[in-house]
Formats: sequence, C-alpha cells, structure tokens
Amino acid sequence: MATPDLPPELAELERRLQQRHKQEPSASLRQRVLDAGRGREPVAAGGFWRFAAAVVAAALLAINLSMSAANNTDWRLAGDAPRGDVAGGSDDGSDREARRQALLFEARSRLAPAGPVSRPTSSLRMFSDE
Amino acid sequence: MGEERSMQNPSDRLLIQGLVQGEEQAFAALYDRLGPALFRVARALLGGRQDAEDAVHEVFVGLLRSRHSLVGVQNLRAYAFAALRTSAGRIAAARKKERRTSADLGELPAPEPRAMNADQDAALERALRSLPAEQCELIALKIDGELTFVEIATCLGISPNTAASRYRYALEKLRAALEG
Repeated sequence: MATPDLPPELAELERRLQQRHKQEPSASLRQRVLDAGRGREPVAAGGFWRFAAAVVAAALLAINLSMSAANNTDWRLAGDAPRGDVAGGSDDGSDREARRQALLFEARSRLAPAGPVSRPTSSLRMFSDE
Repeated sequence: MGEERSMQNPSDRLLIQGLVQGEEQAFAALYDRLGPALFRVARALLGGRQDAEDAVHEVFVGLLRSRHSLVGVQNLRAYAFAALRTSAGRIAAARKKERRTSADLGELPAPEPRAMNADQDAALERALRSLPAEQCELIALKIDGELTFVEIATCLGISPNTAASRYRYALEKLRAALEG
C-alpha cells in the first residue's frame, strides 16, 4: 500500500521496494509451527496429572526423609543424667539396680518416636530373666 | 493517515476466539495470515534464513502459550510483530555471542543465492543493508511486514507521526545510498 504525502521520488522508491522479489518461508516452517501447536495440547491436557504425580512424589520423599531423620535421632537424655537420676531415686542404690533403671530409661526414650523396640526389649528381658 | 487500522479487526477477534478455544484451524489461519510477513521482516532483521525461521517459530509458540491473554490485544498484527522484535533481538544477541567466541568473527550471513531478475533488486538490497539497523527495521516493518504506521508505532513504542517521519527519513537515506 502506497504511503500518502510522499514526494514523487520517495514514492517511486517505495514502489520499487514493494515490487522487489519477496522471500517466502520454507514449507517446513509452516509444518513445524503447526506441529508445535498440536504438540502443546496433550501437554496442557495432561498437565493436571503431571502436577498431581509431582506432588505425590514430593510428599513421599518428604515422608521418607522425615522418618529417616526421626529414626536416626538420638532421643536419649544428655550425658549420664538418666543413670544419675535413677541411682539417686532407686530404693536399694545398688549399681545393678541403677544400671537396670538406666536401661529402662533408654528403652523408654527409644520407644517414644516409634523407633524399633526390639533392642531395648531384649535387653530388658535379659535382665529380668536373671 | 487514512490507511491506518487502529481498531481491532473483526477477523482478528474471531481468530483469537478460535485460538483461546484451542482450535487448530485458527492457529493455521493465523500462521497463513502472519507467517510469511513475519518471516520477511525477520529475514531483514537477522539476515539468515534459519535464524529468521527460528524467530517466527518462537513467535507462534509464544502466541499459542499466551493465547488466553490475547483477548485483550487490540491489534494482533502489531502484537505479533512486537513479539518478533523480541525474538529476533534474542537470537541476534545469541549469534553475536557465538561469533565472539568462535573463530569466524563474522559478518551477517550472506543473502542466499536466489533468482534476482534485476540488478536493481541487488542494488536495493545492498543499499538497505548499508542503512542503520533502526532505519532498516522501519522499512522492513512497512514494506515487508505491510504494517500501517499505527501498527509500527505500537511495535516500536512511538507515536504514529514519529513512525511516519522516521520512515520518510529512512527512505531518503536509502535513496541517497542508492545514488551515492
């Protein structure tokens, strides 16, 4: 379309520009563009399920990590406090009783976060069977 | 300027509706309407055919991605060419970086051999390439993109009058380059 208000020599130059050979895109570009259009829809349709799967995977990972961290946490009281407390509070004050009470404390502390109970229980049984 | 199309074209509205509804035919129609002109302008901006096609591809993928926001677009044509400028700028920057790092500190890709049936065309191309990038871009948007001054103004973020006067100045420079 010619631009109005151009002087004749510029109008002529514009006409020459408009009439020069016009380059066309390759046919493959049209196909490429339309393929991109087609390829996008399934992604959009499956977007929810991808998102749901990602959320579930993230939740499972978080649960796994938190359980792992809980199981590896040392829930015992610091230092020899249990033994000292027990020794002070026991009736007979013997070393053997203090040790038994300390093991009970230890077992109780390990039971609290739903950790494995086999070791403290077997330890207790060993002493109670004597 | 009587030729200007400032209001949203009714067929643009239909196209946008089709795009928003995910109609493949609307997307194909959009390509057929804008693709060749976008390619010609991209070619003028980038030089290489492959880069120009990549830029056009990027524009259409972008339009498809943001199709829901197209409803508010007043002029789809101007919007697409503005997107093309962004894509072309990104590709040009990437190519510049590549050229800097590679051994062939180079020029723009040479125009592909084609059937230029007149020496005039070749002279015109040479003169166009000798213009500053902004003027070359303006002529490409007007002649190859067939944009109106209102659309060019929207694309470049200037007023239509400024677009018209810059275009006229670019033509004068081109004429001087042809004569000189």
